[in-house]
Amino acid sequence: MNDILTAASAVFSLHALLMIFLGAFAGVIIGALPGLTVNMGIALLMPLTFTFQGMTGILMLLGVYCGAIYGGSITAILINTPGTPASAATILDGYPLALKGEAGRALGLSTMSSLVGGLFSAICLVLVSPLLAKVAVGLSAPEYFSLAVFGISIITSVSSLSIVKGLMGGALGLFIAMIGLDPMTAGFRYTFDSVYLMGGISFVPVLVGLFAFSQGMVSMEDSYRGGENRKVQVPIKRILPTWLDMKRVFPTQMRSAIIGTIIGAIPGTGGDIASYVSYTEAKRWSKHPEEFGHGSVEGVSAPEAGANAVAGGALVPLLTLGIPGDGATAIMMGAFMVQGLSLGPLLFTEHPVEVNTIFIGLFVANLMMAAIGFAGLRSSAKIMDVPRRILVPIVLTLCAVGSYSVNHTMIDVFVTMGFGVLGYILLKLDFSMSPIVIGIILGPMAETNLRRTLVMSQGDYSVFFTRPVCATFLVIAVMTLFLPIVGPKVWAWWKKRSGGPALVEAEGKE
Amino acid sequence: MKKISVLFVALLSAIGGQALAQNITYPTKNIEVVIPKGAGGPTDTATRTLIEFAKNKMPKGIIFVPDNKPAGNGVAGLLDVAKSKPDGYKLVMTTVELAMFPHEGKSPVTYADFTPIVAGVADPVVLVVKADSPYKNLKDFIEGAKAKPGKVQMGNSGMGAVYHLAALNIERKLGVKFNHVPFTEGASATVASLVGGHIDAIITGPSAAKSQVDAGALRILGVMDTKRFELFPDVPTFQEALGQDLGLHMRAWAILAGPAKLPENITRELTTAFGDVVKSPEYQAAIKKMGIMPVVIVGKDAAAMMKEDHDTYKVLIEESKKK
Amino acid sequence: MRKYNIVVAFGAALFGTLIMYFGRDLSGFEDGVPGENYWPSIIAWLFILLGALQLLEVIFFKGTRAEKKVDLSSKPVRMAYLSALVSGIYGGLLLAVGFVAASLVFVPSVMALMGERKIWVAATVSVAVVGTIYVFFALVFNTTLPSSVFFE
Repeated sequence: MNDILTAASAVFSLHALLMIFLGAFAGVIIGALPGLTVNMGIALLMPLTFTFQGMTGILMLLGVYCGAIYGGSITAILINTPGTPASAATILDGYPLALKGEAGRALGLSTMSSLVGGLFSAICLVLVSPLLAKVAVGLSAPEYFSLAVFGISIITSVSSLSIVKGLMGGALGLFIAMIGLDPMTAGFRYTFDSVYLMGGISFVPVLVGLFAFSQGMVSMEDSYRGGENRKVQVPIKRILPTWLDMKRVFPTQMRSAIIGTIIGAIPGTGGDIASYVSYTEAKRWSKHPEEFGHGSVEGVSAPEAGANAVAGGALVPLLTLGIPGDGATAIMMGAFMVQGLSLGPLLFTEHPVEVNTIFIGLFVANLMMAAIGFAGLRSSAKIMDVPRRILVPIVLTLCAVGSYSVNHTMIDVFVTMGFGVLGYILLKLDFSMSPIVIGIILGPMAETNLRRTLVMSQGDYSVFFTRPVCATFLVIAVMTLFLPIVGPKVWAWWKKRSGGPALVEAEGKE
Repeated sequence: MKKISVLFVALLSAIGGQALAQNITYPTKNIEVVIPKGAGGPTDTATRTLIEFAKNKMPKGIIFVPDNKPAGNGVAGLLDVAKSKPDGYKLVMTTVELAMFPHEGKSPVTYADFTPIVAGVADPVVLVVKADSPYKNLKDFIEGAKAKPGKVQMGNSGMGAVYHLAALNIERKLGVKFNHVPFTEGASATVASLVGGHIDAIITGPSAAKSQVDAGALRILGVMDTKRFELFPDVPTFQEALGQDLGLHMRAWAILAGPAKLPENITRELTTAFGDVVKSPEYQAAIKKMGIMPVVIVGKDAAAMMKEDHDTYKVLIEESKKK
Repeated sequence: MRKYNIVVAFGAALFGTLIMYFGRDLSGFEDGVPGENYWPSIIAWLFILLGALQLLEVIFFKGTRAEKKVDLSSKPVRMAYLSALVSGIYGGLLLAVGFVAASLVFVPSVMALMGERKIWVAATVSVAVVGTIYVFFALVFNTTLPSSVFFE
């Protein structure tokens, strides 16, 4: 108890609160700018933390972490460009909702969902981290593989226009991710002796190109088709989501928060995967699956709650085992070490005050993030009113700068533009962008763990079916893959059948 | 006319003075430090600590910006710096793999493409098992591996990298055969997999396993060095544990370097600054906490170590190919 | 759309074949354990299979969206291509003269392409955009912006 009080007084000092606020604020901006990702944000600000006394620097990083995951959704909703990979799924329903003139509602929901997801995962971190850590290390290569396959199977649910083309997009993503060094033997694949390709095609430039750059081209086309034909925005009367909306999305938020926390706790998986999985599960369980892709309120809430819940989850293996759950916590590990905290099983007994400081800090960081989000909601929603002839050049410039800042090479800028043109043409041919992104995110995880499993089992495929967790995920994956294809037909058949006898009965009475 | 020439001289001296000032005040902007390994691994933490302490030796406001480029076992990061302008604004933490990859045809750059500044790490490699493993000591382990050739799963952080070659060296000298399981995600992934009990043993650096060993979850069976490791004084060397000297000595180093042909004054500036850092007791105390033994290997000494290992591994890799 | 669907089908099959062709030198199986070519050939076959599926869909399910018009060459679309070309030139300019100068040319050009006629609006927006990006990226977050190869 004493430890908690000491920790609380450390967090609630004016200096610490100010630092969390500044961290979260910087995080929101970093997240909102396409190209600057969560990991980069933390890496960029980490050197600052060394100058602070004690835990203050780490608290600031927690602020950056929460803020940056959330910040990506602002650009996703308002200009159809994911600020970070974790908000690529938010586009699917956020932008359509904003186009309907309800940008304020979309932003309010995404902010509230981020808060709910973040707080839920913080509670999990405090209460069940030993259990979660056990789950996380209990997974081996076959489970990782089945998890990746499950993630890839989502493709059929997010490709609305043509499922075959969605799968082709996924295959394209898998191919892009394969270029570079082989993960097992470290030999070159499809590099064509290019030094750039040896390191693989960077993900962020592709993401920015497919979404933001192609969107710029679409806007250019529209402006020659008859100018500004977007809907007038509904004036923002309230900032918090309505009680009705909250009631409707709360189960979705909870489900997504659980998914996000678990995915965050598994080392090597992060917000990008969590948001897509949350989105698909929301669609699967929704009473209105037909609204998804056209501005569903659940579709906006799910990915944000899932992505932000990753923060608490990723801290679980970091604190309890000294193993980072995602790229961002891996960088934070350095900050912990410099403060003399050796992470791992002994942290909780040797440094109880510091552990409690992190717990309380995570709650405060999430609240700060939401406060900043709600406070800035009105002004950020104004982006929707900016004429496109001004917005498009800004977005295109940001595309170039953002993709440059990932690796500091101009090749990435041209990669962005190339994928922008490709995305533009693919959009015309009824392809969706999300499957490509999912393929790139999950391809390496699927391949590495498939081959690692086969190395460990020496070529024996039966392990995939004898391990219960792995087999379960594979079954769910097959269901997820085929349900959107056969589902509507089965549904129609069932309706007809159940409608049939009722009709007969009615006739019989007459 | 006189006025003009006075002005001209003043202008010249202003330009000259500025140029001179620039020479003295390298660095004038932030220095990028490429870490060719994943964030959170031993190379990463060592680099970040090193540059953090070195910041105080730099002009105020100048910081080192760490940049993880783990793609392709780190070759991408090495290439990036080797090809960059030798202006001192882009450094890289080269690792022992730089002495191996060129012989395996995996890296177009060698130690000769870099100007070494300081060694951040020069640790021996260790063999680790889970605490509840049936192998209580190294003899047990080797006998167990002999009993079922090709079955004992040995985790490493990438084929052809130092920990894999160390395992190959054990195989060769002791006549055993492992099932090598590479984890390109890095050393922390091998530790996670071992803690989860998915593989039988790993070869890694002492720092990656330290917190788990301290907590009693993992056990180190042996150190591949001529002497015991100072932070784990109870752990025997391979020579002690096996009762014979097989020359099983492998060390994983990480040397901060700039591209080749780094100007003399910049090299001097950097070696002086980093030399002071690695000698300082505060820095040494900090890295000891992480399970890294402090070493003072600067400039020319670091270059000599790079060249020595380059030649050693050339022989080792060629021998392993013959098999 | 029907015509393009057929093109997509054959394109995918061709792409799959190309993946296999360029992966022919990679190692297959080694001691029963899959090697470097394992995953690429899975993806290659996936492309070929999907191409075949696409073709089957075109032949047997004529209905859905087949009548949708695909516009890849009308004037508005050509303007979109032009904007990509202008961006490509911008990329070249970034290399040649650095971020500030290149962007001060690029932003007003795109605005002009999109129909902004007021010069003062273009000028103000350009300066504001370049200034804001410079402040955030270069000063606040300390990342480098593209700089000229000629001056450094």
